[in-house]
Amino acid sequence: MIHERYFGRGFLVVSASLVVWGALGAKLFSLHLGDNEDLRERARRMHQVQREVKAPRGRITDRTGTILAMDLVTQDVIADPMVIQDRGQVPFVSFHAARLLDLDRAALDSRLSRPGRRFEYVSRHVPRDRAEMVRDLDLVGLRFEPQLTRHYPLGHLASHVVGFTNLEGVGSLGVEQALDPRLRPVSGLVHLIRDGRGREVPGQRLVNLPERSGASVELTLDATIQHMVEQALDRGMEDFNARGAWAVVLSVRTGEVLAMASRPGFDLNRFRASSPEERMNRVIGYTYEPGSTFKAATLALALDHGVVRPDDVFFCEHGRWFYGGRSLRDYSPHGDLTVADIIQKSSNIGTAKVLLRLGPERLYQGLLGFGVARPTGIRLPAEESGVLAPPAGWSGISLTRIAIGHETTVTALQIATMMNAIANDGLVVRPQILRRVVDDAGRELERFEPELAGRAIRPDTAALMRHLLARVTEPGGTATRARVPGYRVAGKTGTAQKVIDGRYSDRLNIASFVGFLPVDRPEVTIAVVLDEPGPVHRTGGRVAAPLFAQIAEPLMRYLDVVPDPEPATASARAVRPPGAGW
Amino acid sequence: MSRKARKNRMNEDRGLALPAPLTALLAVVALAGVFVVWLSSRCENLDQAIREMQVKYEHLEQMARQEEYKLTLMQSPQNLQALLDRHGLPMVWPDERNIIRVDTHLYRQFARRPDDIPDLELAFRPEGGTGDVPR
Repeated sequence: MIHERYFGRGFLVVSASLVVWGALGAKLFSLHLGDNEDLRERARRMHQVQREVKAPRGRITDRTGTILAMDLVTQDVIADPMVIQDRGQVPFVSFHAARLLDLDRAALDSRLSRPGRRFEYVSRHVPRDRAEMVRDLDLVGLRFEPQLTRHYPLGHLASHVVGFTNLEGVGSLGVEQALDPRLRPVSGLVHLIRDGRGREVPGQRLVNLPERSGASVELTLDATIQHMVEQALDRGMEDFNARGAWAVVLSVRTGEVLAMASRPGFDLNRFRASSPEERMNRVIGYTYEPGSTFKAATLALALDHGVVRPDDVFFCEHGRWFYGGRSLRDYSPHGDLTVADIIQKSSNIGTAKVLLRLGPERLYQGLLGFGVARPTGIRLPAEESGVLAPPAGWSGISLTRIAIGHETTVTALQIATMMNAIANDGLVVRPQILRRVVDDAGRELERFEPELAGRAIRPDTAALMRHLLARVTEPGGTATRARVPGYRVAGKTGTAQKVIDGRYSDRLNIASFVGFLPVDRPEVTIAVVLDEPGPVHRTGGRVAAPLFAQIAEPLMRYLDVVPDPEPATASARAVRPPGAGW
Repeated sequence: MSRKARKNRMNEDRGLALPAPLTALLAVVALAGVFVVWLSSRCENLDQAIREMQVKYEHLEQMARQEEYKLTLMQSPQNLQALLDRHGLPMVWPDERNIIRVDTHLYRQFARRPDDIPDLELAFRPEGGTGDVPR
């Protein structure tokens, strides 16, 4: 029983308690059941976190698994200058950061001393191990942010084929561009709930979309062969003082590109420092008049249609022939030559006379069959198609000029594909650079099989042409420098004047050699082109043929191609019919 | 004066006794509570362990990538060439006459009987050659 004396005091305490608890209850009621959408939203924002999870872009490898492009985690080193200044640590931080990150200390010191700044990149894309060294020093005001960045371990090698990604991670050249949708990763999304201490509440993920790495692409290239080719081109650029040089190596049966190189080149890891000219893949993106290398196709068509035979004789006008009001010249004057000798000596006049027998329509259709004037379909961006006008647009002398590789333009890949057809029994196979696409678990998503584009000439004509073209590298031919010890080589030289301001230049030309080996069982076709070689030696036989040999000799050893069983000359004689004049 | 009767406290009703089933129920609830707390703590520990392993996995994955990258650099044709040049080891392809090609089918057939291998080596030894058989 409460004493009366305390009754009033008790009443006061109870009333006060009721008021306090009542107010709290009212507030609670208002918070829970009232209209507090903004508060709820604030709470939701504090507890829920949405995070993007990045995945690496797919790799690009060669046919042996050598990595040509891959994503690596690097660190951005970021400074808070204000914190560093407040602690008086600017000299200390700048000294150690500059020392470990190979930076200019004075420049860094000045950047860290700027007043009022809270954010400054010290260095971006720092390799992981280097960043760890900085982190271990526990420098004040520095933090690290991981980034996925594209790296190209082989730098210059196959740079035009591999290509690069821009700063947004989008493929911008070569395979990186062509297969961007395949290589590109899919970022994951995590929407989670955090507790009061900022930790994720287990089992409470509202959204959990897993990230997916990009698929990896395997190319048909072989890094070792690519290296051989690039070494040869570099030597060629130096020895012949050329403006550019490019080469492609095809596997005869499958059309697989074993190497594709272009000079001048650039380092993929520093692509921003390269010029558009350096980035140009000349093998597919540069068209030129092929000159005499084209005769391999035009004369093959004449033989295929039976308008001439190898031992038919043509008078080559001793080096100068007027036809259609214009003169046509030979590099060296010749009198009577058989068709076989026309090929061996590369006579323009003889070739033109042979092709007059074939006629424009059959020549045009035949050249289309070889793949001239249309892209090869190699699945690399920026492939040029070349030009060959239909016969309706030809002038009176066009046939004689197209016969010798003028009034038409091709890419080196087209000319290699054309020669490859002769090596491959007349079958044109589409050159391919992609082998397969695999996902990050190693499952094959797509395989690129050899593709037949058609038949250009009959198998017997192709066999005949192989042996006629083999004479080009034998004594008396224009490409004796293309010979490879132990193997018979077939091919054709080309020296085409460049067109400068609408006129053929007397000084500037494009020298090339395209050939295959071994003649009796061809394994590889190689095309080598030099732009503006000089000043002394400028012909295909003098500058491109030796480069061909420099590539072919180690290549035969690398591919372990068994040398020809007999001496080359005996083998050559064996295929000639009795009584043949060539 | 009547003597006030003393109350026997032993007979006094001491209030509501806790019945055994209720006690058991309360005990079960308490135990369940303790179990839930233990389970929650265990989950938290596991969560922490998973997180640490995830971080470690990512770290190892990054290291593996980094090492793969370094290995590719080391094995690249340019690097091998540079190393050979630096150490003055000019490598050339062997002369064709020094290469012995063995019919792999024939070799395997003989290799089933190890005693025959020396004879096979002799059989393939070229004139003036070293007699090395590619294995």
